[in-house]
Amino acid sequence: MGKKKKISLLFTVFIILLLFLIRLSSPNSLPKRLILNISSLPYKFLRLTFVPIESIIYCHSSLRELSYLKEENKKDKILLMQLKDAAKENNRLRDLLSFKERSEFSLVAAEVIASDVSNLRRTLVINRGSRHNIAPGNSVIVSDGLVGMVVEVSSSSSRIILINDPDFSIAAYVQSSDVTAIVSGSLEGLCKFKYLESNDDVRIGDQVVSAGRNSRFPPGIPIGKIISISKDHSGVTLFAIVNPAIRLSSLKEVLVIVGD
Amino acid sequence: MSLFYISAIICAFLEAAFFNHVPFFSVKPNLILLLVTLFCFYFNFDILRVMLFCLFCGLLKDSFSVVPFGIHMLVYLFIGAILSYIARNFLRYNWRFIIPLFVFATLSQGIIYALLRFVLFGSRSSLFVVSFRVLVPEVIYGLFIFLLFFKVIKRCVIDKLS
Repeated sequence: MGKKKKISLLFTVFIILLLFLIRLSSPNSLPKRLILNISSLPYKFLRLTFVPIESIIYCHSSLRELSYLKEENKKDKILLMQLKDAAKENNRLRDLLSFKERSEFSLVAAEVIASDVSNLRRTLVINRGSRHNIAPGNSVIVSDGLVGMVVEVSSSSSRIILINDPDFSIAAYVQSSDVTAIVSGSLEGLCKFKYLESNDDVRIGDQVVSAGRNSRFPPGIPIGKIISISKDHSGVTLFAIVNPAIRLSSLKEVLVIVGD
Repeated sequence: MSLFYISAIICAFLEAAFFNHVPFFSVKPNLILLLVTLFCFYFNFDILRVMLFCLFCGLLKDSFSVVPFGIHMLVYLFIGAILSYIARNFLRYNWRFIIPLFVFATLSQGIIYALLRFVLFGSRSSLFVVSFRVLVPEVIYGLFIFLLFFKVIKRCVIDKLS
Protein backbone atom coordinates (compact mmCIF):
# COMPACT_ATOMS: atom_id res chain seq x y z
CA MET A 1 0.00 0.00 0.00
CA GLY A 2 1.45 3.39 -0.94
CA LYS A 3 2.42 5.90 1.79
CA LYS A 4 -0.35 8.32 0.79
CA LYS A 5 -2.99 5.61 1.05
CA LYS A 6 -1.67 4.54 4.47
CA ILE A 7 -1.84 8.13 5.72
CA SER A 8 -5.39 8.56 4.36
CA LEU A 9 -6.48 5.31 6.00
CA LEU A 10 -4.91 6.37 9.32
CA PHE A 11 -6.61 9.77 9.05
CA THR A 12 -10.00 8.12 8.47
CA VAL A 13 -9.47 5.71 11.39
CA PHE A 14 -8.58 8.64 13.69
CA ILE A 15 -11.73 10.54 12.64
CA ILE A 16 -13.99 7.54 13.30
CA LEU A 17 -12.36 6.83 16.68
CA LEU A 18 -12.65 10.47 17.72
CA LEU A 19 -16.32 10.61 16.72
CA PHE A 20 -16.97 7.57 18.93
CA LEU A 21 -14.97 9.19 21.74
CA ILE A 22 -17.04 12.39 21.51
CA ARG A 23 -20.27 10.41 21.68
CA LEU A 24 -19.12 8.29 24.62
CA SER A 25 -17.62 11.16 26.64
CA SER A 26 -19.73 12.38 29.51
CA PRO A 27 -19.40 15.50 31.65
CA ASN A 28 -17.76 15.00 35.04
CA SER A 29 -16.10 11.75 33.84
CA LEU A 30 -13.21 10.27 35.84
CA PRO A 31 -10.42 11.48 33.48
CA LYS A 32 -11.83 15.03 33.59
CA ARG A 33 -12.01 14.97 37.40
CA LEU A 34 -8.45 13.67 37.63
CA ILE A 35 -7.14 16.36 35.29
CA LEU A 36 -9.09 19.03 37.23
CA ASN A 37 -7.54 17.81 40.48
CA ILE A 38 -3.99 17.66 39.10
CA SER A 39 -4.19 21.01 37.33
CA SER A 40 -5.59 22.97 40.29
CA LEU A 41 -2.11 23.33 41.84
CA PRO A 42 -0.47 24.93 38.75
CA TYR A 43 -3.59 27.11 38.35
CA LYS A 44 -3.22 28.40 41.92
CA PHE A 45 0.50 29.00 41.39
CA LEU A 46 -0.12 30.96 38.17
CA ARG A 47 -2.90 32.90 39.90
CA LEU A 48 -0.45 33.87 42.67
CA THR A 49 2.17 35.04 40.17
CA PHE A 50 -0.39 37.32 38.58
CA VAL A 51 -1.49 38.95 41.86
CA PRO A 52 1.36 41.56 42.03
CA ILE A 53 0.89 42.44 38.34
CA GLU A 54 -2.85 42.74 38.88
CA SER A 55 -2.41 45.01 41.89
CA ILE A 56 -0.29 47.42 39.82
CA ILE A 57 -2.64 47.38 36.83
CA TYR A 58 -5.79 47.80 38.87
CA CYS A 59 -4.38 50.05 41.66
CA HIS A 60 -6.19 53.18 40.57
CA SER A 61 -9.54 51.50 39.98
CA SER A 62 -9.17 49.58 43.28
CA LEU A 63 -8.80 52.84 45.23
CA ARG A 64 -11.87 54.29 43.55
CA GLU A 65 -13.79 51.08 44.20
CA LEU A 66 -12.71 51.17 47.87
CA SER A 67 -14.16 54.65 48.49
CA TYR A 68 -17.37 53.68 46.62
CA LEU A 69 -17.69 50.50 48.71
CA LYS A 70 -17.20 52.46 51.96
CA GLU A 71 -20.15 54.71 51.04
CA GLU A 72 -22.29 51.72 50.06
CA ASN A 73 -21.38 49.97 53.33
CA LYS A 74 -22.73 52.90 55.36
CA LYS A 75 -26.06 52.75 53.49
CA ASP A 76 -26.19 48.95 53.79
CA LYS A 77 -25.74 49.09 57.59
CA ILE A 78 -28.86 51.26 57.89
CA LEU A 79 -30.78 48.95 55.55
CA LEU A 80 -29.64 45.90 57.53
CA MET A 81 -31.05 47.33 60.76
CA GLN A 82 -34.39 47.94 59.04
CA LEU A 83 -34.41 44.45 57.54
CA LYS A 84 -33.62 42.83 60.90
CA ASP A 85 -36.75 44.44 62.31
CA ALA A 86 -38.75 43.23 59.31
CA ALA A 87 -37.35 39.70 59.71
CA LYS A 88 -38.36 39.61 63.40
CA GLU A 89 -41.88 40.68 62.51
CA ASN A 90 -41.99 38.13 59.66
CA ASN A 91 -41.01 35.26 61.99
CA ARG A 92 -43.58 36.38 64.54
CA LEU A 93 -46.35 36.40 61.97
CA ARG A 94 -45.26 33.03 60.57
CA ASP A 95 -45.38 31.52 64.06
CA LEU A 96 -48.84 32.90 64.45
CA LEU A 97 -50.01 31.33 61.22
CA SER A 98 -48.06 28.10 61.96
CA PHE A 99 -46.10 28.21 58.67
CA LYS A 100 -43.27 25.74 58.20
CA GLU A 101 -39.87 27.39 58.54
CA ARG A 102 -38.24 28.05 55.16
CA SER A 103 -34.82 26.49 55.16
CA GLU A 104 -32.06 28.86 54.08
CA PHE A 105 -29.63 27.57 51.54
CA SER A 106 -25.99 27.51 52.59
CA LEU A 107 -23.29 29.21 50.54
CA VAL A 108 -19.66 28.32 49.93
CA ALA A 109 -17.39 31.17 48.84
CA ALA A 110 -14.80 30.27 46.23
CA GLU A 111 -12.04 32.01 44.30
CA VAL A 112 -11.75 31.78 40.53
CA ILE A 113 -8.37 30.24 39.65
CA ALA A 114 -8.65 29.52 35.93
CA SER A 115 -10.93 29.71 32.93
CA ASP A 116 -11.63 27.60 29.86
CA VAL A 117 -8.72 27.31 27.40
CA SER A 118 -11.15 27.67 24.51
CA ASN A 119 -12.52 31.12 23.67
CA LEU A 120 -15.69 29.50 22.33
CA ARG A 121 -16.62 28.06 25.73
CA ARG A 122 -17.20 30.06 28.90
CA THR A 123 -16.28 28.16 32.04
CA LEU A 124 -14.37 28.95 35.19
CA VAL A 125 -12.41 26.76 37.62
CA ILE A 126 -12.86 27.53 41.31
CA ASN A 127 -10.75 26.42 44.27
CA ARG A 128 -13.51 24.50 46.07
CA GLY A 129 -14.58 20.91 45.40
CA SER A 130 -16.34 17.88 46.84
CA ARG A 131 -14.49 18.33 50.15
CA HIS A 132 -16.52 21.53 50.56
CA ASN A 133 -19.86 19.78 49.79
CA ILE A 134 -19.95 21.01 46.20
CA ALA A 135 -21.66 18.69 43.71
CA PRO A 136 -22.49 18.86 39.99
CA GLY A 137 -25.63 20.88 39.41
CA ASN A 138 -25.08 23.37 42.23
CA SER A 139 -26.02 26.95 41.34
CA VAL A 140 -23.35 29.63 41.41
CA ILE A 141 -24.20 33.25 42.18
CA VAL A 142 -22.68 36.56 43.24
CA SER A 143 -24.45 39.34 45.11
CA ASP A 144 -25.61 40.98 41.85
CA GLY A 145 -26.91 37.96 39.99
CA LEU A 146 -26.60 34.48 38.56
CA VAL A 147 -23.18 33.25 37.44
CA GLY A 148 -23.83 29.69 36.27
CA MET A 149 -23.79 26.06 37.36
CA VAL A 150 -21.22 23.52 38.61
CA VAL A 151 -20.54 20.80 36.00
CA GLU A 152 -17.29 19.06 37.03
CA VAL A 153 -16.16 18.43 40.59
CA SER A 154 -12.91 17.05 41.95
CA SER A 155 -11.90 16.91 45.60
CA SER A 156 -10.34 20.40 45.70
CA SER A 157 -11.64 22.27 42.64
CA SER A 158 -14.68 22.52 40.42
CA ARG A 159 -15.58 23.75 36.97
CA ILE A 160 -18.60 25.98 36.47
CA ILE A 161 -20.27 26.90 33.19
CA LEU A 162 -21.34 30.50 32.88
CA ILE A 163 -24.77 31.70 31.82
CA ASN A 164 -23.42 32.70 28.38
CA ASP A 165 -21.90 29.25 27.67
CA PRO A 166 -23.64 27.42 24.79
CA ASP A 167 -24.44 24.42 27.01
CA PHE A 168 -26.16 26.43 29.74
CA SER A 169 -29.91 26.95 29.92
CA ILE A 170 -32.34 27.92 32.66
CA ALA A 171 -36.07 28.64 32.97
CA ALA A 172 -36.53 32.37 33.50
CA TYR A 173 -39.25 34.99 33.50
CA VAL A 174 -39.62 38.70 32.94
CA GLN A 175 -40.19 40.41 36.29
CA SER A 176 -42.63 43.01 35.00
CA SER A 177 -44.88 40.75 32.93
CA ASP A 178 -44.27 37.17 34.21
CA VAL A 179 -43.55 35.93 30.67
CA THR A 180 -41.67 32.64 31.11
CA ALA A 181 -39.16 31.20 28.64
CA ILE A 182 -35.64 29.76 28.50
CA VAL A 183 -32.41 31.72 28.88
CA SER A 184 -29.46 29.98 27.33
CA GLY A 185 -25.92 30.87 26.32
CA SER A 186 -24.52 30.70 22.81
CA LEU A 187 -21.28 30.19 20.91
CA GLU A 188 -21.29 33.95 20.26
CA GLY A 189 -21.07 34.58 24.02
CA LEU A 190 -24.55 36.11 24.23
CA CYS A 191 -27.42 35.18 26.59
CA LYS A 192 -30.59 34.51 24.62
CA PHE A 193 -34.10 34.53 26.05
CA LYS A 194 -35.61 32.01 23.63
CA TYR A 195 -39.00 30.65 22.50
CA LEU A 196 -40.96 33.86 22.98
CA GLU A 197 -44.26 34.22 21.18
CA SER A 198 -45.02 37.29 19.11
CA ASN A 199 -47.81 38.41 21.48
CA ASP A 200 -45.68 38.07 24.66
CA ASP A 201 -45.37 41.28 26.66
CA VAL A 202 -41.58 41.62 26.48
CA ARG A 203 -39.83 44.96 26.05
CA ILE A 204 -36.28 46.25 25.84
CA GLY A 205 -35.09 47.11 29.36
CA ASP A 206 -37.13 44.37 31.10
CA GLN A 207 -35.37 42.56 33.92
CA VAL A 208 -35.09 38.76 33.54
CA VAL A 209 -34.80 36.58 36.65
CA SER A 210 -34.58 32.84 37.34
CA ALA A 211 -37.92 31.05 37.52
CA GLY A 212 -36.80 28.41 39.99
CA ARG A 213 -39.60 25.99 39.13
CA ASN A 214 -38.57 22.33 39.56
CA SER A 215 -34.93 23.27 39.15
CA ARG A 216 -31.82 23.60 41.27
CA PHE A 217 -31.79 27.35 40.79
CA PRO A 218 -33.54 29.41 43.47
CA PRO A 219 -36.23 31.71 42.07
CA GLY A 220 -35.81 35.43 41.65
CA ILE A 221 -32.04 35.61 41.00
CA PRO A 222 -31.29 38.39 38.49
CA ILE A 223 -29.95 37.16 35.16
CA GLY A 224 -29.87 40.38 33.16
CA LYS A 225 -31.73 43.03 31.16
CA ILE A 226 -33.21 42.63 27.68
CA ILE A 227 -31.33 44.74 25.12
CA SER A 228 -32.84 43.58 21.83
CA ILE A 229 -35.64 41.39 20.45
CA SER A 230 -35.46 39.56 17.10
CA LYS A 231 -37.13 36.78 15.16
CA ASP A 232 -35.73 33.27 15.46
CA HIS A 233 -34.20 31.49 12.42
CA SER A 234 -37.48 29.54 12.12
CA GLY A 235 -39.44 32.81 11.85
CA VAL A 236 -42.10 31.46 14.23
CA THR A 237 -40.78 32.45 17.63
CA LEU A 238 -38.83 35.42 18.91
CA PHE A 239 -35.72 35.61 21.01
CA ALA A 240 -34.29 38.44 23.09
CA ILE A 241 -30.65 39.17 23.84
CA VAL A 242 -30.09 39.55 27.57
CA ASN A 243 -27.20 41.64 28.87
CA PRO A 244 -25.94 39.75 31.97
CA ALA A 245 -26.39 41.51 35.32
CA ILE A 246 -22.72 40.84 36.17
CA ARG A 247 -19.44 41.20 34.29
CA LEU A 248 -18.71 37.54 33.60
CA SER A 249 -15.24 38.16 32.18
CA SER A 250 -13.90 39.75 35.38
CA LEU A 251 -15.18 37.47 38.14
CA LYS A 252 -12.74 36.90 40.99
CA GLU A 253 -14.94 35.33 43.71
CA VAL A 254 -18.24 33.48 43.51
CA LEU A 255 -20.73 31.86 45.90
CA VAL A 256 -21.88 28.27 45.38
CA ILE A 257 -25.28 27.27 46.73
CA VAL A 258 -24.82 23.88 48.36
CA GLY A 259 -27.99 23.43 50.47
CA ASP A 260 -31.58 22.81 49.27
CA MET B 1 10.51 18.34 18.62
CA SER B 2 10.11 17.79 22.35
CA LEU B 3 10.37 21.58 22.70
CA PHE B 4 7.04 21.83 20.86
CA TYR B 5 5.33 19.31 23.14
CA ILE B 6 6.61 20.94 26.34
CA SER B 7 5.68 24.40 25.00
CA ALA B 8 2.16 23.13 24.24
CA ILE B 9 1.68 22.04 27.87
CA ILE B 10 3.02 25.38 29.17
CA CYS B 11 0.81 27.31 26.74
CA ALA B 12 -2.27 25.37 27.86
CA PHE B 13 -1.68 26.37 31.48
CA LEU B 14 -0.94 29.97 30.53
CA GLU B 15 -4.14 30.19 28.48
CA ALA B 16 -6.22 28.75 31.33
CA ALA B 17 -4.76 30.55 34.34
CA PHE B 18 -2.80 33.60 33.19
CA PHE B 19 -4.20 35.15 30.03
CA ASN B 20 -7.77 35.09 31.38
CA HIS B 21 -6.65 38.03 33.58
CA VAL B 22 -5.49 40.06 30.56
CA PRO B 23 -8.23 39.52 28.00
CA PHE B 24 -8.59 41.46 24.77
CA PHE B 25 -12.32 42.01 24.13
CA SER B 26 -12.99 39.10 26.58
CA VAL B 27 -10.78 36.78 24.53
CA LYS B 28 -7.45 35.04 25.23
CA PRO B 29 -4.71 34.37 22.66
CA ASN B 30 -4.76 30.87 21.20
CA LEU B 31 -1.12 30.00 21.83
CA ILE B 32 -1.63 26.29 21.18
CA LEU B 33 -2.98 27.05 17.71
CA LEU B 34 0.05 29.26 17.10
CA LEU B 35 2.28 26.32 17.99
CA VAL B 36 0.28 24.02 15.71
CA THR B 37 0.69 26.53 12.86
CA LEU B 38 4.46 26.71 13.41
CA PHE B 39 4.70 22.93 13.59
CA CYS B 40 2.63 22.31 10.46
CA PHE B 41 4.58 24.96 8.58
CA TYR B 42 7.98 23.47 9.28
CA PHE B 43 7.14 19.75 9.46
CA ASN B 44 4.70 19.69 6.54
CA PHE B 45 6.75 16.93 4.88
CA ASP B 46 5.97 14.44 7.71
CA ILE B 47 2.18 14.04 7.90
CA LEU B 48 2.26 11.44 10.67
CA ARG B 49 4.28 13.74 12.93
CA VAL B 50 1.84 16.57 12.20
CA MET B 51 -1.18 14.36 12.98
CA LEU B 52 0.30 13.18 16.29
CA PHE B 53 1.19 16.70 17.39
CA CYS B 54 -2.27 18.00 16.44
CA LEU B 55 -3.92 15.15 18.35
CA PHE B 56 -1.76 15.96 21.39
CA CYS B 57 -2.66 19.67 21.24
CA GLY B 58 -6.33 18.79 20.80
CA LEU B 59 -6.13 16.47 23.79
CA LEU B 60 -4.64 19.31 25.88
CA LYS B 61 -7.46 21.63 24.82
CA ASP B 62 -10.09 18.99 25.64
CA SER B 63 -8.51 18.27 29.02
CA PHE B 64 -8.55 21.89 30.16
CA SER B 65 -11.96 22.66 28.75
CA VAL B 66 -15.53 21.55 29.42
CA VAL B 67 -15.96 20.02 25.96
CA PRO B 68 -16.17 16.22 25.60
CA PHE B 69 -12.88 14.46 24.83
CA GLY B 70 -12.33 14.27 21.12
CA ILE B 71 -13.85 17.53 19.85
CA HIS B 72 -10.72 19.65 19.81
CA MET B 73 -8.67 16.60 18.76
CA LEU B 74 -10.88 16.28 15.69
CA VAL B 75 -10.78 20.04 14.97
CA TYR B 76 -6.99 20.21 15.27
CA LEU B 77 -6.56 17.04 13.17
CA PHE B 78 -8.48 18.72 10.34
CA ILE B 79 -6.58 21.99 10.76
CA GLY B 80 -3.22 20.19 10.80
CA ALA B 81 -4.07 18.32 7.61
CA ILE B 82 -5.20 21.50 5.85
CA LEU B 83 -2.25 23.63 7.05
CA SER B 84 0.41 21.06 6.15
CA TYR B 85 -1.19 20.57 2.71
CA ILE B 86 -1.12 24.33 2.06
CA ALA B 87 2.43 24.69 3.41
CA ARG B 88 3.72 21.73 1.39
CA ASN B 89 2.14 22.67 -1.93
CA PHE B 90 1.97 26.46 -2.03
CA LEU B 91 4.33 28.10 0.46
CA ARG B 92 8.08 28.34 0.72
CA TYR B 93 9.77 28.19 4.15
CA ASN B 94 9.38 31.93 4.61
CA TRP B 95 8.38 32.84 8.19
CA ARG B 96 6.19 35.68 6.91
CA PHE B 97 3.70 33.09 5.62
CA ILE B 98 3.10 31.96 9.21
CA ILE B 99 1.00 35.06 9.79
CA PRO B 100 -1.68 34.47 7.11
CA LEU B 101 -1.54 30.75 7.91
CA PHE B 102 -2.31 31.50 11.57
CA VAL B 103 -5.19 33.82 10.58
CA PHE B 104 -6.59 31.07 8.36
CA ALA B 105 -6.15 28.45 11.12
CA THR B 106 -7.96 30.58 13.73
CA LEU B 107 -10.94 31.27 11.47
CA SER B 108 -11.05 27.62 10.37
CA GLN B 109 -11.02 26.21 13.90
CA GLY B 110 -14.00 28.38 14.85
CA ILE B 111 -15.94 27.39 11.74
CA ILE B 112 -15.09 23.68 12.08
CA TYR B 113 -16.05 23.75 15.79
CA ALA B 114 -19.38 25.45 15.04
CA LEU B 115 -20.08 22.94 12.24
CA LEU B 116 -19.21 19.98 14.51
CA ARG B 117 -21.58 21.29 17.19
CA PHE B 118 -24.32 21.62 14.57
CA VAL B 119 -23.76 18.11 13.14
CA LEU B 120 -23.27 16.29 16.47
CA PHE B 121 -25.54 18.26 18.82
CA GLY B 122 -27.86 20.24 16.52
CA SER B 123 -26.66 23.54 17.98
CA ARG B 124 -27.02 26.55 15.63
CA SER B 125 -24.77 29.61 15.71
CA SER B 126 -24.29 32.72 13.68
CA LEU B 127 -20.84 32.26 12.11
CA PHE B 128 -20.63 35.97 11.35
CA VAL B 129 -21.25 36.96 14.97
CA VAL B 130 -18.86 34.24 16.26
CA SER B 131 -16.14 35.48 13.90
CA PHE B 132 -16.71 39.13 14.79
CA ARG B 133 -16.96 38.68 18.58
CA VAL B 134 -14.50 35.84 19.19
CA LEU B 135 -12.29 34.82 16.28
CA VAL B 136 -11.12 38.23 15.04
CA PRO B 137 -10.00 39.40 18.53
CA GLU B 138 -8.34 35.99 18.97
CA VAL B 139 -6.39 36.48 15.74
CA ILE B 140 -5.31 39.99 16.70
CA TYR B 141 -4.23 38.95 20.20
CA GLY B 142 -2.42 35.86 18.88
CA LEU B 143 -0.51 37.93 16.31
CA PHE B 144 0.40 40.44 18.98
CA ILE B 145 1.89 37.67 21.13
CA PHE B 146 3.69 36.19 18.09
CA LEU B 147 5.28 39.55 17.23
CA LEU B 148 6.09 40.25 20.89
CA PHE B 149 7.98 36.99 21.24
CA PHE B 150 9.17 36.83 17.66
CA LYS B 151 12.88 37.04 18.48
CA VAL B 152 12.60 34.12 20.91
CA ILE B 153 10.54 32.08 18.42
CA LYS B 154 13.03 32.91 15.66
CA ARG B 155 16.02 31.82 17.71
CA CYS B 156 14.47 28.67 19.19
CA VAL B 157 12.41 27.43 16.27
CA ILE B 158 12.77 29.19 12.92
CA ASP B 159 16.59 29.46 12.76
CA LYS B 160 17.12 25.92 14.12
CA LEU B 161 14.73 24.39 11.61
CA SER B 162 16.04 26.49 8.72
